[in-house]
Amino acid sequence: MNKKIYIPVIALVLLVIVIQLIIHASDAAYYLTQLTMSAYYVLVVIGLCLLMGYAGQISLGQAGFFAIGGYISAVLTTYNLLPYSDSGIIKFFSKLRMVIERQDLYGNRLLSFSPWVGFFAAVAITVIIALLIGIPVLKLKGHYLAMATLGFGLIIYRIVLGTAIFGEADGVSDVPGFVLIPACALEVNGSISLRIQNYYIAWFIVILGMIISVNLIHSRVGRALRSIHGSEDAANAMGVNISKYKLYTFILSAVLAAIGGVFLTHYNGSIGPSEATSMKSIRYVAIVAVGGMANIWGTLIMGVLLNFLSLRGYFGTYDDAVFGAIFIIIMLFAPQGLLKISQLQKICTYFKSRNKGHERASP
Amino acid sequence: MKELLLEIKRLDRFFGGLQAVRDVSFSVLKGMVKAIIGPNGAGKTTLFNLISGYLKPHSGSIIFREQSITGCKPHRIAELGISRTFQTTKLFLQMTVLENVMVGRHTKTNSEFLSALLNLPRTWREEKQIKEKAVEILEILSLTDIKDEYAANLSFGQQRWVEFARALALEPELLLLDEPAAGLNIYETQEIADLILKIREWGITILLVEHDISMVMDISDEIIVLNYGQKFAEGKPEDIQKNPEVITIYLGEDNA
Repeated sequence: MNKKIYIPVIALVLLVIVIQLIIHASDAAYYLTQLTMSAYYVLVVIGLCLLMGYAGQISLGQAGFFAIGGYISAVLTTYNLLPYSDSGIIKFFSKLRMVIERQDLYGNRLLSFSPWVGFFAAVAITVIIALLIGIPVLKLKGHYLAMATLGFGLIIYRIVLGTAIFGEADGVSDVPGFVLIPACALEVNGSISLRIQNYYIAWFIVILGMIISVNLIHSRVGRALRSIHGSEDAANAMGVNISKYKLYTFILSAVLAAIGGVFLTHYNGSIGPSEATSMKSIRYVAIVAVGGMANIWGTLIMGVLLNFLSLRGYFGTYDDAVFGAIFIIIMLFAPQGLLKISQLQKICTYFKSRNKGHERASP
Repeated sequence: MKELLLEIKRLDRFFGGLQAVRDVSFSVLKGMVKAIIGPNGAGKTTLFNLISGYLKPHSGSIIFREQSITGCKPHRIAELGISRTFQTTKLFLQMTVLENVMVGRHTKTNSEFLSALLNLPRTWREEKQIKEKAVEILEILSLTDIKDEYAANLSFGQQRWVEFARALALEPELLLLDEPAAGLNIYETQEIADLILKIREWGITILLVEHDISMVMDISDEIIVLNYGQKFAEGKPEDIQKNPEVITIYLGEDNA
């Protein structure tokens, strides 16, 4: 096994710990909140990076998948099933502990699905929707694929904005925390007392996402994806089933976006239609572009940095404009992305050859 | 008696009103080098694209190892043991030479999406085999020196060789070569011709399309001449060379 590929993962683990310790020491714990939220957005851009950078397929609908994840989990965990509590099916779910009782903010009894049910339902529905959208849409290329996925994103936005169960313009609020493991009280929850715990939960999920991404990239499948990006005809001649791999990667990216949506919704305690806008989708694409397209580590860095700055409000009311501007600048001056892997490699080989030169010079 | 490997039966393909391939039938025996020649627009590349699945025939059938592959998708045909190169080399430019050849092992390996995501032990054992085999192929073709070079940085001639290496990594039964000598100088053409003969010695059957007539005459066991999408002549190189009608096609009426 090539263990070298995990070195950056270990570096990331250490960095996550070091940043937490620095923040702890500098008494600026509030930064953890934005770092936690950024982590969930990073999950979206990692998935998109696999799709765009490796399989070479663009999606301007990732916010749609994020919203599908977030909204499904939000609705399932907040919809009050108390009126139906006598029905057999709800009793059955209660027995399986898939439906749990809690109290809302005003002390009223509330019976709703557990977050784990919400999570799995969100993932399952995302897979189905990605499958249904992906099969016809991935036959398209370039601008056409971009437009089709944009259309999908717009539909999702309009659905959540216009449907009563999704709270229309208000979105869904009072979403409970997500108790991951009851035994050790691990809970995705935005309350200040759980801030450090949540920072680690979020980054643990990102690290898992990075591990599977790194595995994928350095596998037969990852090579096949890059070959599709290189030349579809040649990939085909090598026996790569192009449409299958495109579809699988599309589904993977959708699932990562949905998982980000589920966790961020439970962390924030709410989700609104702004998460489903195409501006969000464009933001994700812009982040992958600055990150270097086929560079998941670059995408991770840019994902954290830009989301953090945005969430801290450094871009003020020009938030979306900043991402739009980034997009234009990247497309004009570095269409291959800013942190381009091949450039980094060129720098590496340059230094290597220089060192070799020195060795030769001094026998 | 030599075994029949590929059989083309009455193949037709139209592009709108133009009939690019018209009622073409021929067969390829195991172990031979067979060449398809003909003037520009004779339908040679179309025929290749039909055999490798990039185009679907409007009628007729293609039988490979006694199994119909008519209308199969290209990746399926590659899995069955037909590998190809392209007229304009199509390497994966953003990948290294080694990685390009490793993609060629795709059909011989089977770790799928889920096992790749989890990097199961099976996956990395297989990964090691893929790499070893790719290195071996590069050694045979004397490409070891450039194995870590990005394909985009290679010269045209090198790219052609890497494309050969990649096509051979599939361990095909039948290798389709679309103008292997296009754009190469005399020396490079000779090297490619030697390589093709070497590949035949390994027991791989070769079907090629080529413009370089002298090379075709040197290396082929049999030649098919296409003209306006139709099979015009078929036979041994010396017969084709003597055929006055073939000379007419190539040199024009007046010179005949």
